[in-house]
Amino acid sequence: MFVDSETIRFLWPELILVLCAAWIYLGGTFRGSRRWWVAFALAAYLLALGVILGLEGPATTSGDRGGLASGPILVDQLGMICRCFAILVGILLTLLMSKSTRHDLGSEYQGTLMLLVVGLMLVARANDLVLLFVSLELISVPTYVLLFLGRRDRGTSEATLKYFLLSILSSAMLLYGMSFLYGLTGTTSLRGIQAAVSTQPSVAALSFASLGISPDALIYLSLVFLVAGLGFRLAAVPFHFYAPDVFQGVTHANAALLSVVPKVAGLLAFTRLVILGFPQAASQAWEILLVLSILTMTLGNVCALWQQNLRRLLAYSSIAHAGYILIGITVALADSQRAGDSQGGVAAALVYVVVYAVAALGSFAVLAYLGSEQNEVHGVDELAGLARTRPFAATALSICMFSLAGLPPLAGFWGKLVLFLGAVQTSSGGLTVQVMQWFMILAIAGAINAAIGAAYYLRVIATMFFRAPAKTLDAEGGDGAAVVMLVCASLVVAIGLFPGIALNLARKAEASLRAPVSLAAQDPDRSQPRPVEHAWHAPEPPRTNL
Amino acid sequence: MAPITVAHYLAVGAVMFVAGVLCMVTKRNALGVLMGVELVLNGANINFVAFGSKLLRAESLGLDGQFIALFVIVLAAGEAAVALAIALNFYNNHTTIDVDRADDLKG
Repeated sequence: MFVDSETIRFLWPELILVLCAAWIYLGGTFRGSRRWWVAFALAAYLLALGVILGLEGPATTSGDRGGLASGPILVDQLGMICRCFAILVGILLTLLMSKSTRHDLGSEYQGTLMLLVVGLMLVARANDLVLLFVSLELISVPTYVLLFLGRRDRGTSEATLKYFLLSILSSAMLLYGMSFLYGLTGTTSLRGIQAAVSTQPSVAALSFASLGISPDALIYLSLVFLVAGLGFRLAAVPFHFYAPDVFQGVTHANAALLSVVPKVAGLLAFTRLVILGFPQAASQAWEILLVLSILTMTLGNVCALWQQNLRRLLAYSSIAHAGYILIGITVALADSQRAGDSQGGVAAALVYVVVYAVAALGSFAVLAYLGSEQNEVHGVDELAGLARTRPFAATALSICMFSLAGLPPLAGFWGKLVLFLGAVQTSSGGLTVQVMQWFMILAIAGAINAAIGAAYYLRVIATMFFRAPAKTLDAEGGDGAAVVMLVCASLVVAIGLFPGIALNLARKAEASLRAPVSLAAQDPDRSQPRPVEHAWHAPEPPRTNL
Repeated sequence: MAPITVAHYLAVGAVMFVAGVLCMVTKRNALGVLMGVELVLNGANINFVAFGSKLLRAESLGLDGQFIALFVIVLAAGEAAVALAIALNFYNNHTTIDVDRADDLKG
């Protein structure tokens, strides 16, 4: 874990955003205008996006697809694609929050949101336990502040407290699990852990054995804690309890944030840490996650059936979608047991989380748009007859909900299709009869759940189209929310019509995940990165420099 | 007397972790729950420092384990600041920081 100037060069996009966030915090005390700071934040995101594409486009696409390891970060396709997506999420949330905040808190809101986006970008490229943990916290801490700033009433203060306590407990469990990984392997580099765990018996394992502690037991212990810590971020059963209450208590914009950002971060951390870090424990890991996946999607979908509060309904929908994402992770874990072709579990999960994020952001944007600062939209019944009173909002919400339900030809359909196909392929090419049976059950459970899920989305859509309007909603959410609504609905349709582009990007990202990395830093000849098989054997500078 | 090994440190870390979780589950005062959080995080810290020490391996691992512990201590301080703001906001709305009173949201 040594940082040199090369690493700093790769971190420019994040540094730009951090500096801009600091500037927003400082400048906000002198200039209060909310509109001005929204424009400033948007410009900062676009600048960072430009730097990413300009700086790393060549670095990640040239030569082999493996990417470079530089200090605690990994420069590869997966990181690059996910960081572009993080900036897109940042832009959409900035627009969505542009009017839903109190006027005098506009700058604090935008600065905090920007730090959160930086956290998400760093999770996407972390190659080190320390950086991974710190960047996950860089997402969590601003989230607490944003939830707290959203509104100051009883419900919000309760939701914030609940989210904070459970989130910090999950972080602590993650940290505890990481401590065992560090102890077993003696390194904090994720690639190093991957290699050290697969070359048994390591020196550490022997020294544990001499203490009477079985190294295998420690691996499983670590696995359970990591799954618990990351499962909270995905909102997977049994760590989902917070979601309905918290979503109900916070504003629509914050609920959108909670349904998207922790999920993406959780999936990325799962990918880098669990799927790659546990080659031997993979057989136990996929069994745990398969059961969690079935439980999560069933519980989420069944509980959503009788919800009357829209944010509660979308919270259970968010839990159900966590279950679908876990299908992809399970398939990827089962794949990692054998050397052959990958069934694309990670790629499917990545596509799915993007598709879900866009549709969920769109749904919450419509709800935010329909309300006003005094009167938020709460119940499903309030949407009655929306197709007649607010046809555009109703259309956008229907598109997003149809996609969440997984109806063709929208994006959600392709997301579910690749996930279920992965499970079916694993079941047909499985190692043993048992594996085949389990994955067949998983695929069937997914299909049944897709049918259950369609019921409650269609209920909302039917309320909008087939019931007489009770009252006209304010629709004072502002232009920002309207733009987000339009962008998300068009993205859902676009991905639905051209799924190949998204799938190819995700496959490239997955390929880069397993490819060997080369070292960028400490190499005299920068133009030809020296292929080093084990990146953690980097010639380290003398420890006294630390 | 048996020499102190890394296993002893792990036991202390585990006890702190469990004590912290129990504290978070049983305390009704939000600040008491916050103390449980500190215990849980520091239980993990003890593990990191113990694993990084020379008790486990003869060869040096550098200071990675100790540095993680330092990072976590700083993080915990930051989170405590945010937590106090959240607890104050809760108090302003509920005139108590009894977490059992947080029962408005259900469905």
